[in-house]
Amino acid sequence: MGKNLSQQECRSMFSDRFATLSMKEIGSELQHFRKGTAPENPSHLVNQVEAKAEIQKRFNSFTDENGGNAEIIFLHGHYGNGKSHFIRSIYCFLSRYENVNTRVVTLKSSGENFFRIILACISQQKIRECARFIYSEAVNLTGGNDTAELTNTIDEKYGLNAVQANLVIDIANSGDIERQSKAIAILKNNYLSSYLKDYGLKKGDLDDGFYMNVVSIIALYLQKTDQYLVAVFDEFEHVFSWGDKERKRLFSEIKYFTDYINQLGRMMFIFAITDSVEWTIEKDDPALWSRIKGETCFINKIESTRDARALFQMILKRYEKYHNIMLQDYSDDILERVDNSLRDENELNYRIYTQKMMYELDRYREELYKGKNQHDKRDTLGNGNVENLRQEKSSDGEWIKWRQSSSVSRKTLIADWIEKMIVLLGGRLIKNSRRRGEIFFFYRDLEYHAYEAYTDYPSIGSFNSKLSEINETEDYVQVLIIYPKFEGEITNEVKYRTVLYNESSLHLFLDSLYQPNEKDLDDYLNYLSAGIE
Amino acid sequence: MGNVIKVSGTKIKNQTEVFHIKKGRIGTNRGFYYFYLQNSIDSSAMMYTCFLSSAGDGLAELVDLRNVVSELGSEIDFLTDVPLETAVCIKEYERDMLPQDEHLFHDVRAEYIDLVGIDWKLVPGQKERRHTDEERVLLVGYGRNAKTSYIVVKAFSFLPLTLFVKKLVDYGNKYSISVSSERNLRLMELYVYRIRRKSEKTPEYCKSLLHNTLKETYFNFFVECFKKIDVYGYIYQDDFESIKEKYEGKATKKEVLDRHFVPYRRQRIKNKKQELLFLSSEVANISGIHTIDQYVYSLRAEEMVYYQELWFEDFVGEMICKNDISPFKLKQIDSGDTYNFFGDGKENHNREIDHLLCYEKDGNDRVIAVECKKTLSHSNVKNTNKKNVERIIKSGKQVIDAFFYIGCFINNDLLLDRSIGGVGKYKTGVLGDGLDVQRPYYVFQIEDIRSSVEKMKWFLKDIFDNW
Repeated sequence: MGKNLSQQECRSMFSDRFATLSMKEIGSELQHFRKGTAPENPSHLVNQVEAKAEIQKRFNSFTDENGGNAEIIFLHGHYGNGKSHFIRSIYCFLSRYENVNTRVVTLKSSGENFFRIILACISQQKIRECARFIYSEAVNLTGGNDTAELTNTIDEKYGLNAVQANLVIDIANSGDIERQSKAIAILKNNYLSSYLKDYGLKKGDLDDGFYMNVVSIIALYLQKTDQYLVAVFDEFEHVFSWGDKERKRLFSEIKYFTDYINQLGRMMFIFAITDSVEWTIEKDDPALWSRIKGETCFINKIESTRDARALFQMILKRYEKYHNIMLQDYSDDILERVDNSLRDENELNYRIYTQKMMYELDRYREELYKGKNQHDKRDTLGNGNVENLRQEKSSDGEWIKWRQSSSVSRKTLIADWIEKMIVLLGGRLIKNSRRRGEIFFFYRDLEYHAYEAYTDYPSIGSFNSKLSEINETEDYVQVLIIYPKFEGEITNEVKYRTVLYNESSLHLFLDSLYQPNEKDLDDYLNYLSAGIE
Repeated sequence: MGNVIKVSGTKIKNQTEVFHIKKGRIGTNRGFYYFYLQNSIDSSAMMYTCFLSSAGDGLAELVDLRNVVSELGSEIDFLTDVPLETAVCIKEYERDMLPQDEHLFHDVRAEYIDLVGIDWKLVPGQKERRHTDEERVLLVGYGRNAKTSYIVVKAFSFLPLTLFVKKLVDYGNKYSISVSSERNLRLMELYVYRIRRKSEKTPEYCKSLLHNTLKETYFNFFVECFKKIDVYGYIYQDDFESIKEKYEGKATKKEVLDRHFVPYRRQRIKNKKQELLFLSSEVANISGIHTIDQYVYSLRAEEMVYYQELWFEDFVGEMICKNDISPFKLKQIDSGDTYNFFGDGKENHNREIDHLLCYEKDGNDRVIAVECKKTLSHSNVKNTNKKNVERIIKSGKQVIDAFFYIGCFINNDLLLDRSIGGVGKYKTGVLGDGLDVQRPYYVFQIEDIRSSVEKMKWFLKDIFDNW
């Protein structure tokens, strides 16, 4: 059973859905980012704080349990700044709800009638449901199936004229799919002339008032059944390519519509417009503009470093998960490359930034992969042991290996680095059991037993579990616990020296192994803990 | 000559966009529109019935089924304003056709039908691709009886059929309408691309070897022996005795351990240029031999050929069939068939797939292509990836959801860098990076049958959850 939309649900409209994305969805998003197009089902909209807040406010009002308001929103933005992304975010969010009927409408043909456009947003199924609802209520009220009585009852209760009532009765009850389809087509203002004969209608009978009535009755039905209709008009700026006469008629119809907006409590219409210096509603129809300017929100361009970073972090998170790679530490470098490549661009927008970020991430990944391959070849010759580590001049290769490694391999890497540290200290290795994470050694006449571990999900529970595995009974042994930092504090008393590391401190520790300065054990452990102990 | 459909009525939306009249314009005056299908229609391949049911009376009448179709998305739109009565269409348009002609309406078992058009410009990932007439139109029929409601789809290409059915299933999931079918659409489409069935069969005399390697308690014994055979071609007698001693016990029987490996007399024959190694099975009486190292063990000739050529593929296929991987249900396994997903007859687009598996869970299917390599190495994983990208992924056909590369042995140059706790190691990646279709692959070794089944379960969970 699907969920129903509510004010509470609307609060999560712009939440980051990263945690729930499948790999396929992430891959699809990244592909769109490469092409500079909006994903079909966007998982997150970065920045645009004011626009998001305004939309949320409008949805709060729309879904108010005490009688929501119909809403019209005009969403303005310049080319490439995420209008389609915005609209699809809203549309896809709403599409998940069983009680929300969503439509995306693109105004292609010149001279389209606005009511026809609205009615196109209302599905045949909804018309049929509405008809069955009205019919059923009328039957209950009249106590029978007499058509004349039903027609009168529907007229009195719902304000539908005889023609509309007959159409409703046919849709609900005729049992003839052809007749039902024709009646629905008439109510949706999408009929062939030949259909009108069956109802004794002329085209002139089906005017704006007729269809406003239909729209109102649908709105009433939506309200009674706790449903909503949200129609999104993408690329609304196309109307500026229409002839003047058609465009003015459309604007006039929209003005007429806004006069009755209060009758349409469960309907929302969002118009997305790409701004241009050549044409604006304000210039073209000041009267319409005066009515709708309060319903307008703007999508901002990408203007600050903070905006760019937020965009990058959103893309990076997805990129890292999909390609199983850690590039966070290279963020500054990658962003610098992006900025350098955009230096000569006249007009910067979210599209250009997104494409460039993807390009540089792909480049970086390829460079790292080539670097890893070089390293793997050396590993094959030297079996990746400490002897090789000694020969390396910098920690870069080792850090690349860390980035590429699974959690099991990372544990082994840490063991190798600790062994290198022992060698540099002039200590004597007793044993290095990489699989068990136990490195025992002598240093300055003391015996040390180091227990190290790596896990992607460190916690106080897993730390305590690790502690319970250690069974040291000799007082003269210096015990070290080396474990990833976790949330929360160590609650039980730990009688061993504990060094909690994170990725930054581990990198510092690794770097320290390649720096020529004299250090003792405490110095190295201080690098490793970076102040967390 | 293909079928000509005459549809009366003055409004078929976007007619010139959807139907391209190929052999001259047949007629657009007097309000009639025609379309002419060039290729013959294989009705049995393209007819698909979806049964719909819902808890309430939302599907009480045929018009409700039509309304469901109207809600499937803006890319799917009616070309007919009102549905046509099928019997009337047969009477009007097919009365004069000969029995051997292709019929359009006769086999559509539904009371009313609509012509439905697909606007591919509105379908993600399809905007830039050119679409044929056959891909832009469907016949959709509506039927009801006392027990059930159904929508029949007659398609002239799998692309619109797959889109339509997917949209219908998604709609059903959202509005709690059960949508089911007796036929598996994925497999239907796959078989369209199959060009050759596997010809080799497991020889009867080798079934015993296959059967014994599939027993959990014997598997590791055989693998240890095979490892030696792969290196030397035989096993030294004392090695063989050690291996047998290791595995001989309650769960393993000596006669089985001895059955497949027979003694051979090893001789080195020197000539001026080279030394030849010669194995002879002419061993009349082992007790008459003076030195042990003159005898080695290996498979019988016919079993050796089977082991080299067919055994591992058969082993993997049987292992998959015989082991339950709940909650994933194996619906179908096809082994050794050759496919051409481009459908272009080009040899370099042919792809032989060792095993094609269709698994089902909670009404959803996934199709996995399995590549079996007795010894997996870095280069053969790389080559297999390349072939899968060139011959499957790049075809754009989204018929295969994932790839398994399964090995018995792993070369040192291949790093299985991930692990599933307590089960074993594997390698994974994504094929089709940068392309519109991307699919995961999983590389793993069969260390023992139990853990291999656990690994497959883990990968299937990842595929169903994430892909």
